[in-house]
Amino acid sequence: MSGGIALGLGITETITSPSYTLINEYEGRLPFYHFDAYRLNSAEELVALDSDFYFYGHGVCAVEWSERVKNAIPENAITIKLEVMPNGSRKISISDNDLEKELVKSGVLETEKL
Amino acid sequence: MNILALDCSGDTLSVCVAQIEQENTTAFSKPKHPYKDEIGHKKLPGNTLVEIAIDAGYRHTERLMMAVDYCVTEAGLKPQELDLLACTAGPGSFTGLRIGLSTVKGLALGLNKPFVCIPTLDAISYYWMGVAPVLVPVIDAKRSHFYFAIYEDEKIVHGPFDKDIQYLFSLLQHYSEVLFVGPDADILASSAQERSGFRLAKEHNRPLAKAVANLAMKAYLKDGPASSSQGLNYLRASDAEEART
Repeated sequence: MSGGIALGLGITETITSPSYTLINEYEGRLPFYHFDAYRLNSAEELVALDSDFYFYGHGVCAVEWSERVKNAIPENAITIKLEVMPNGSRKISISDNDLEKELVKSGVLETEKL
Repeated sequence: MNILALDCSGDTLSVCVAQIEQENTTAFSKPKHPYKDEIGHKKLPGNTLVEIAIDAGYRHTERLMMAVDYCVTEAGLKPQELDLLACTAGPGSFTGLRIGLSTVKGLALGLNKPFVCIPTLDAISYYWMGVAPVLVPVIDAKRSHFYFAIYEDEKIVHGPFDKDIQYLFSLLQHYSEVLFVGPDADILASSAQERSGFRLAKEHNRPLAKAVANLAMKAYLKDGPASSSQGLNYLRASDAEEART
């Protein structure tokens, strides 16, 4: 998914996992900051990495495992929830309804097949 | 005294080597044409300064040691001839502050030289002492919060705080004349306009290294060196603490 965001921002560099580096930075149409909170134990640990300077700065930030650092995430952040369904497909829920509708309309997302 | 001072607390990195004479030995007369002096790389009498400021965003680690090397060399010194090292103690960028202090601690340990840390807001205010009776240095702490303090007659009287703008202006309601300084003072421009005596310093984002060097000498002569366990003042209460109060 982060690879897709990077593609949309015109980043040609290979997107690698920030699980160990915590934050990877990329130059694109807008700066792209890719976070992974998997190794962090609290929101304070993320804030100590100057997350506020990224979150309230001028780039696009994607945070994986954001539920581990909930208190450090801005209130107006868009949350994308990925769930693996029993049949192996993925259910994607987006906290921003307008964005979700737009993505469905443009064919990026499929509506749920019941 | 030869002082190496650096500041990584904000997006402008600054480094300087200040050679400050003791007060009782400043009576040197400067040569008439110092720049034509053919003796070459030799310190002129009196106080001298080599300072670098690089406004390139948060890229301090990539540039800091090159800037240090340049300043020390340009001052005509060998690292061993430094007498004191100094950096900002916070508040500011957490990562930047750690880069600054760890660099200073590393150099101090390797060279076996003393170091001191100077509060960032003291360093910002230093340049404006005497310009206005009340100074408020301001750093954007994000999330609608600011790091700030109130200085009167060259002394800190309130703070430092990590609070919002409402709190700042409630503290300032009895002041008639205030000068806002610091890298992010312009954020307060519209709020300050509503009060006639409240002004914004025009050149409010000055590189801090020189101020740090001057304050470091004073602090060192008064209180001696910092200990190796010296920490930083992030000023940010953790979310857990904030929820409790």
